[in-house]
Amino acid sequence: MVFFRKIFILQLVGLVLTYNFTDCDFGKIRKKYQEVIYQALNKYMNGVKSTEFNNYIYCEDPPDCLAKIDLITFYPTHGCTTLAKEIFAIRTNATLTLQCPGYSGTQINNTQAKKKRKKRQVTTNKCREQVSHLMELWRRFSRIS
Amino acid sequence: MRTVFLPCAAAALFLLGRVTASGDAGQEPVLQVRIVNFNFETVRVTWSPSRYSGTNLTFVYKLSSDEASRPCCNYIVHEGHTAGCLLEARKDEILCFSLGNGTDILFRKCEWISAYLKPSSPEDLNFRWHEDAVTVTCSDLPYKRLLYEIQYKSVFDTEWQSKEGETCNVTIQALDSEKCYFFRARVKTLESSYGSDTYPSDWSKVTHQQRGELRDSCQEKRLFPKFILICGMIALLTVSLLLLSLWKVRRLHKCLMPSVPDPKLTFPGLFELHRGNFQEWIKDTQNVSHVAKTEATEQECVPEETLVVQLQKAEAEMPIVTTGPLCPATEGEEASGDASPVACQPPQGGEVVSLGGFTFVMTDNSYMLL
Repeated sequence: MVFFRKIFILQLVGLVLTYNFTDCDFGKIRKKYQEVIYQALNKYMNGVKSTEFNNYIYCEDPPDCLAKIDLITFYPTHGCTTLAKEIFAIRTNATLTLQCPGYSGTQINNTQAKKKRKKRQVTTNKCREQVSHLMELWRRFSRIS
Repeated sequence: MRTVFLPCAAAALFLLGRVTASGDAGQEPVLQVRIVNFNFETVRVTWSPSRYSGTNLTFVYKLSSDEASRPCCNYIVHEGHTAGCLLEARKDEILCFSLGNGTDILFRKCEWISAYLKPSSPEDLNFRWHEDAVTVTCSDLPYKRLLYEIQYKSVFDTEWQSKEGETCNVTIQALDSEKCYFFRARVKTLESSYGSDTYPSDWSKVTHQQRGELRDSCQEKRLFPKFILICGMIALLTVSLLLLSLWKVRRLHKCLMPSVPDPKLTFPGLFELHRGNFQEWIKDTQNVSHVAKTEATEQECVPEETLVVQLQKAEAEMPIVTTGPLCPATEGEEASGDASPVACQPPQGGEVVSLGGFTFVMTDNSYMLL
């Protein structure tokens, strides 16, 4: 199980590596995060603190943080496949598309998302854990950009 | 570009693997653990000793930049047992640690140490006055997304007022440079960058400023007792004047309206037994024969002070009351020749009253009520 999970994550990492985020306007992305994305993430967590989960995903610099944010937000993981349809994800996609030249954004198949939505109740805790990672990565990004 | 990101991806995978092995994602904490990151220099992790009192828990940790886990080498000891660990921090990174009792792992956690940041308090505040505004500056801390809060108040204010800035360069407007102001500063974190579990820094030392100059103090303590003393003296004076005027009013009232003696006390039995009928009362008590004659006259006897004359029953049969010039004998009296031999004798230093064979001399301020 762990082996397959690692393979899956490696595939996602490979997808992310197609864009390196080095040419993004980090200042404007940070501003957008503080204005709109942060509130949407908080709303998703619905009062649950990100520190209630283990946060072990480290990012070294702004491009690294954005790459990991992109990975977790737009690529489904085992136990949480629907984050890309959430408001914070839509805002993230819009921000990155605007502020990162050449970033194509992520197209989400609506039919697939609807099918997965049925499982949302079961996977909420896993998704919250994922979003707690996202929050910590965004915080780290805003501290260093 | 792929090669640039591969180490990062590998690191992320490694970290994910670590947590999968520990299996503690979303797990309820067994111990109450508190983390404080002092200015990214020292991290203090303490745990509640109540549940595991009497046991020495071991603390093992690993920072993102460490290659391997290491045991705590600076324990905080409480009542002979380990209650915390102080560890050196180098930068904004992730701390993974575990707490164990022998070989059992009781608690495991990975956290960004920035989530528990307590910045150091600002030092060396500088003040630049320009008319009615002051700009407070200090050295910025070496990390971003902080709020520098300046609080100020004058000697006349009870509450502090606040102004914040993202750098330690905060201008406060609408001040009166003649007044003496207190200033203090602290550093807080932005919630969107650090989360809600951080701590504000301690307040800096209070600085006193007046007319653009540094003061040792704002003389708040000296001014205040002086004010209280003056108020107290004014209050005391007012109360004294009030009491004095009250006393004067009473005296005036006494002068204008002197107290009238109560006849009930002067003539016992007059009202109780004779319903105020003086004739009956006098007959009953003294059997005075010529009282009727006295009554017939319309002489006015102005009382000055009451002289109470009360006879014993045994003496009551004996006549007689004779008054001096205050109540001169009537014509009828003179005609009947019943007048007492001592009646209307000229007073010797006062008027003479004869009663039952006794003669009394009354002074000017005495009188007799009949």
